[in-house]
Amino acid sequence: MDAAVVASQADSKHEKFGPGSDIHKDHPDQVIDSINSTHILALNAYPVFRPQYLLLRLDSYRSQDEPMDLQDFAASWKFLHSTPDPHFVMYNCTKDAGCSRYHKHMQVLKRPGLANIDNSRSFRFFPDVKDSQNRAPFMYFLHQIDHVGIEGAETIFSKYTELLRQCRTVHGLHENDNKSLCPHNVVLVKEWLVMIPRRRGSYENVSANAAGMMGMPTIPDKSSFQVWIDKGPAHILQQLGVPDYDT
Amino acid sequence: MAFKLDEQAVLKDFNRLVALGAIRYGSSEAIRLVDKDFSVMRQRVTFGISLTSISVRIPHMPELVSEAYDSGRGSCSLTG
Repeated sequence: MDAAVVASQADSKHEKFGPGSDIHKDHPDQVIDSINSTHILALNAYPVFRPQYLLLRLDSYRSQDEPMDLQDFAASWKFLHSTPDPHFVMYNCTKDAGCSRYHKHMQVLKRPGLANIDNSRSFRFFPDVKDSQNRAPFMYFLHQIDHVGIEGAETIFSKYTELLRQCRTVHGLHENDNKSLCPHNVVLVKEWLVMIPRRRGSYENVSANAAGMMGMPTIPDKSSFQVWIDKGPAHILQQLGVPDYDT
Repeated sequence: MAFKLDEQAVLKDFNRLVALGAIRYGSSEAIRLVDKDFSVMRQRVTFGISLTSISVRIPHMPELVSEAYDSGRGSCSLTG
């Protein structure tokens, strides 16, 4: 039997999150809720963390090649205010930013480190580290979010669009070019937003999405772990991002 | 309208779906690279891979160098 037919039949055994979606819904209980009638909140079927959420566009034809829009920020912001435990939202815009599925989605995970803020060995995202010597080996844009309540998604989205224009110029595009792909990662918490321009999704057979660029890459096996050791994380992250020549 | 997430209920469902095989928890794991002092700590966060943990210091994130140690001791911790 033709391989494509076999693949098609295998695919048909799994329900997906709507027409056009490339994300499988393996069990009905994977779906937790809907947010704002624009997004589906579901459990990620391939989590690294326990649990790991997907915030999927209800319109399953929406693509991961698009930048985030106001509805994405509204749903993300609502989730971040839905639980007392701190979480972070990440978005991988295009394959070069580490996305593996094209049905537009954000991912939500527990935010690391804050419960053990006084433990110097506990991992924290670099914007949470108050250290002037703290530098990442790639260019990023950081926006501190001050006094923005649960209704503040529009304010944050406005800042994101400003950063997106800067990101386009980093990629050599016109700042208002909304037709060309603009690979970048977004990480959003209640206190800050980070945008990371990306050059490529993988390097030397290792890859990183937004969480990876923030210092939490995932590894599927020993060999990829060895690459991180052999090449060095700073070198790998610089190759995946854009070098910041000011540092 | 306010949206509230019942994390305990979610975790219960998560564990049930892992047991059913609908969620493939453990197919990959995370390493953690940077810290306040740019130490690198590989933390096992899943149970699918048995590797030796490492603890590394990299001032300003240059190359990753340091010792390996037994994953059953000390800095190896579970997340989630």
